[in-house]
Amino acid sequence: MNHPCESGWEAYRADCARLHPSDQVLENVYDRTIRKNRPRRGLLRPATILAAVALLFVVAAGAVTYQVHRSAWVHPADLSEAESVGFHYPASLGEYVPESMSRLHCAPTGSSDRQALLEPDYCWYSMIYRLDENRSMGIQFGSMDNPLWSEVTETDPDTEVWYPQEPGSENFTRENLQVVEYRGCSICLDDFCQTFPDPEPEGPEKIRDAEAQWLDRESGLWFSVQFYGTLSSSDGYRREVGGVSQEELLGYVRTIVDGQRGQT
Amino acid sequence: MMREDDFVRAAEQYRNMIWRLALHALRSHADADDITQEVLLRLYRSGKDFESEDHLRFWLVRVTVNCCKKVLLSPWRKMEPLEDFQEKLSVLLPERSALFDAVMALPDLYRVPLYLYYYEGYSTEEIGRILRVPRATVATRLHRGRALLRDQWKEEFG
Repeated sequence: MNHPCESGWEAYRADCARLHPSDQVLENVYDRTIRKNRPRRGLLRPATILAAVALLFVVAAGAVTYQVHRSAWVHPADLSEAESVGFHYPASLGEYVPESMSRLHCAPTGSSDRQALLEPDYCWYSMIYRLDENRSMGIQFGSMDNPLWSEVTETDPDTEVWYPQEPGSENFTRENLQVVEYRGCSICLDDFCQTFPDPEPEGPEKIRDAEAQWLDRESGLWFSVQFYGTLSSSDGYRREVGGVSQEELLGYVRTIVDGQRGQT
Repeated sequence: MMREDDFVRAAEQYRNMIWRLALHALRSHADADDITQEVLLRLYRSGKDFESEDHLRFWLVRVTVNCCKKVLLSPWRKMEPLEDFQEKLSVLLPERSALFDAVMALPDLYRVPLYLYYYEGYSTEEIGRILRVPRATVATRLHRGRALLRDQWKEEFG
């Protein structure tokens, strides 16, 4: 043992510098602070679906650089923030659910929570518009400059129309795919279907939601819009479907495109 | 409440300091974990506007000391035997100086002032403000703590 009055204190300081709590301590703190303030679970669904689907595609695509870091890093946002990336919410669409506006942080694979939160490479945005008591519409968008949208798409080399990739799971399929041109945008419409192999009693065996995706090259944004059915009060997940048609969805999509062109 | 990014920065930067201080005060890994969580939660909820980094650091040290005092005063708290503590410490620090073990073997009255003085670099006056004791009391505790370490050193190494 070194004499405590001499170099011993240097060794003591070196030992102290190596002391640290377990990572679980910070995880617990974040769970009780920042993550507790996330939007409600049901309202998070579009973003988490987006993250999950994106991850699915990332895995399928193999050699890719980016992925959505963690769905946990979805944070409340406001419309002014979305407007700063070039999004114009069309007033004619009606009022969106204010607390549904959220920001999805994207950071390189292997990033820490801290990096994803403080230094995201880019963000996507998500909001929900309530159509009526039983039906909602999720709107997601992000800059075309950001790489994630291109990872989850397949482009027809002849027409340069963007199609969503196959979901990569037999429980999820895309059916009745069609492309509609509107004001310079190739809008890809389809029915996104989820099959329940073991449906609950009186529950649906298959739910079908119209969805649309398009690139708005004029505003430089990527868009994705989906319908949602009734949110169950028990777990926040939908159990019934309003049977929304692609035609009805296209009407809302046109309103959004018009909004981007300054026609609200 | 604090802004999220400010809070994450502070939590990342000061979690080790809080934990080290709590470990010195309570000599228990589990209690140090609890105190670290408690102090960071208080920071998040405080909504305080800190004038500087030093102000934030001082506030965290003060709150940590107060939280530790509460734990020490708890009637149901059971002191962990020193041997058990050292056994657990060996997982985190398999190789460490004998002085570190000697400091941790001191009564808590001396451990915290020694840690604040020799590791955190606070002056006796600042430690007095942290512990809410006169500066002279801090100086006495440091002196006695060092004397106990010297006695132990002589005992073990002649």
